[in-house]
Amino acid sequence: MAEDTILLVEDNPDDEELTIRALQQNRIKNAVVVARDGAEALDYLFGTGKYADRNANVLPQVVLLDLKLPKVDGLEVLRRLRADPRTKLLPVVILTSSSEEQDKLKGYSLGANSYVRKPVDFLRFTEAVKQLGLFWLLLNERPPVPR
Amino acid sequence: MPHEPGQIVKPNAENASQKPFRMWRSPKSFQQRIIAAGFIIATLLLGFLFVMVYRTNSSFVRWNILVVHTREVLGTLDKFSTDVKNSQSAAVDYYANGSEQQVKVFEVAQSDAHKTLAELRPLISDNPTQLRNLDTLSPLADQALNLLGELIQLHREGKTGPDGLKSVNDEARKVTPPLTKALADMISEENHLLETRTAEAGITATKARRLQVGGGISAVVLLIFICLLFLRENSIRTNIEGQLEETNSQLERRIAERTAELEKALQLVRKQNEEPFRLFISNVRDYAILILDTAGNVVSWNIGAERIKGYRAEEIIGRHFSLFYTAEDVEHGKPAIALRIAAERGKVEDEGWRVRKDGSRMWANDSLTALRDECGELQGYGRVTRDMTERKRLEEEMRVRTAQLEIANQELEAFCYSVSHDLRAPLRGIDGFSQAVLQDCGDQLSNQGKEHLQRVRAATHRMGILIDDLLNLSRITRAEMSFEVVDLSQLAYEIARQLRAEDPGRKAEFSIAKDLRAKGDPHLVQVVLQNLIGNSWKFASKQELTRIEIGRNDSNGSASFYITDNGAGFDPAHADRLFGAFQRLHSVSEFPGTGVGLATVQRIVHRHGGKIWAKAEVDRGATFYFTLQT
Repeated sequence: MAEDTILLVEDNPDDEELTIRALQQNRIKNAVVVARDGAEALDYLFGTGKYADRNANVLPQVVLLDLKLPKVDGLEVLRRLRADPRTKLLPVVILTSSSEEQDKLKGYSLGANSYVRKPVDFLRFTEAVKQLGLFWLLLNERPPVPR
Repeated sequence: MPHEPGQIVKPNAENASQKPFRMWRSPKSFQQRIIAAGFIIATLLLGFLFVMVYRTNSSFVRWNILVVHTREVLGTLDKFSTDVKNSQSAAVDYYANGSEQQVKVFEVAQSDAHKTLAELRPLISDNPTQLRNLDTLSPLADQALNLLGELIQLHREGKTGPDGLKSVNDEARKVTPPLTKALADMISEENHLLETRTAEAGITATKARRLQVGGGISAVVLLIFICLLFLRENSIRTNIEGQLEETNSQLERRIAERTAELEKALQLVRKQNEEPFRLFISNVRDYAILILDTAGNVVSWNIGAERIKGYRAEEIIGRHFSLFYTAEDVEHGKPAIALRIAAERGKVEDEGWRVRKDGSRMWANDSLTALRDECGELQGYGRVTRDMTERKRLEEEMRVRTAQLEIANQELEAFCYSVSHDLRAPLRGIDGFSQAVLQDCGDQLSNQGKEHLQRVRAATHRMGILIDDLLNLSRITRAEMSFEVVDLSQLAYEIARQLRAEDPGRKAEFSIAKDLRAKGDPHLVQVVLQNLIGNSWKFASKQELTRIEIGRNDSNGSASFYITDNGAGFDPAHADRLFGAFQRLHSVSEFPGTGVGLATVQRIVHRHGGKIWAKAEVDRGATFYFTLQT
């Protein structure tokens, strides 16, 4: 089972607001669920904690994952997702401020599907979100649901 | 073998022992030849004598056998004659007296006569004459014996008259003379043989005796002669040996004398050399140089030892060197082990804590060398100790500093990581929300208000670029480097191609020398060229025709690469600020930039162990030089 939601894992409310704004400006109407730290993201995806009553079998279309996060950081979230059979194929796009070599290396090693750096320039940021939305929400075929 | 001056040449043991020996083996002396010949002649003579004696003896034996044989034949003939006579007398007696006893005697004698004749034949089978005689004798004997038998028969038939006897007698007269003659012939023949053979036996016996006596005498004479020769030869040899021995001992004596002289001279030389050497050793201050006896007791002590260990010579000489070791090391038997290993391997080195006279510890590097005389006999040990306490302290300090540096680097890394993430996010907020205001409420703002918001956005962009450049600079300082041969020409072509592609309408000439090669990190070298060529491209942008040249200067044995352009140049008075971070010699409105590029370039060149400098004049272009290992 899948839904067309986007899970945005982002602790900075400004970035959250700007991301949602960029999505809207690009007429991407999918519902956006925001997790404000790594632990919340994992709770959402595995139906634990405050998302205990959520059906964990329903996965978002794509996860936009920041790296610097409170509690559990982005790379750790990615590692746990890839270690779980339910989420190991879930499309995860790292969307972060840094373009540190070590982050890219670890991100891809852990099985990120893409690595996108958030530009400072909002117009370019909007453009990047548009491309992401086009690709991951329209063009990309979802992976088969693991049984 | 060439001998070095001062080296004592010992008499060559091989030569000394070989010389007399070789003389012995040199061509054989005349005497020796005579002795050898004498031996051979004596041996041959004795052999010849032996054969002769043997042959004579066998001949003597043969003759004697023949004599015995002849005697046997004669005996047999005699017996035959007796048998015939016995049978005759028995037969005549019977015929005359009729005694039956005589008949028996006759029969025995007759049979004996036959038997004797039969025995005679094989005895004379070697003599054809006797065989012929026997052939004559045998029928006559048969006839005679038969006649005697007839005589007995006549008596039995009672014909004892003269008629019977007469006929027998007539017959007997016919037979007896030839028979007697045949027998006599045989005996005479045999006697003749006996005579001859006895004479022959006598001759050979004499011959044998003479040979034995003569041979024995000549053998004894020869042996005596040889013995005499041998004795003489031996005495000559002993004489020569004695002479040789004397010569040898004389020679040895002279060698020993000469050796002693040399030794003396050498000792003198040594002493002369040793004195300054001893002085030199005793004055070495930075090393403790001491000599130990075979048991490890200190024998000599220099100033360095006094300075390093704190003992004066008179305090320490005669004491055991384990005094320099810590109590733990002594407990573990380290000094004894060091002596043993040095004796076994010649030398042992060790580094560790040692104790000074005042009890303080020092970190020392020790080497212990076994000292042996010319014969390899252990004489003692040489010990050199260097005080490494200061170095050890510096090493320790360096280790701590390295660790601190590592921590600082890690902190810097974390800091940069943080900057990379956290410093840019607010900028994105500022820019994003400025843009949102412009988009959402643009119509409520005055033109000036909109312009101000645009300025806010431009400032954030600039800040973003600054942060990125700063992070790049920091990253380049920290990045690990690999060293390989880099083709600078190829990199320059690629950069030029990209620059042209970004601005296709621009008129530009690139002149890139071929085969510019250097050793370095390919990525960092590329960053250098990217910045320098990019700068030239930027600062020449206002020229009608951009000219950029990339090449290499070889002068004074070192090579430098250069990038020269026909751009805006700069005032050489400010050249020292050129490579500082965020330093700019042109306004941003004139030429954009953050002032980080050349700082980055300089750091990279320095990290490669190279130098970078620039020459320029305002409006007359600039040339940047840098060196790399080639």
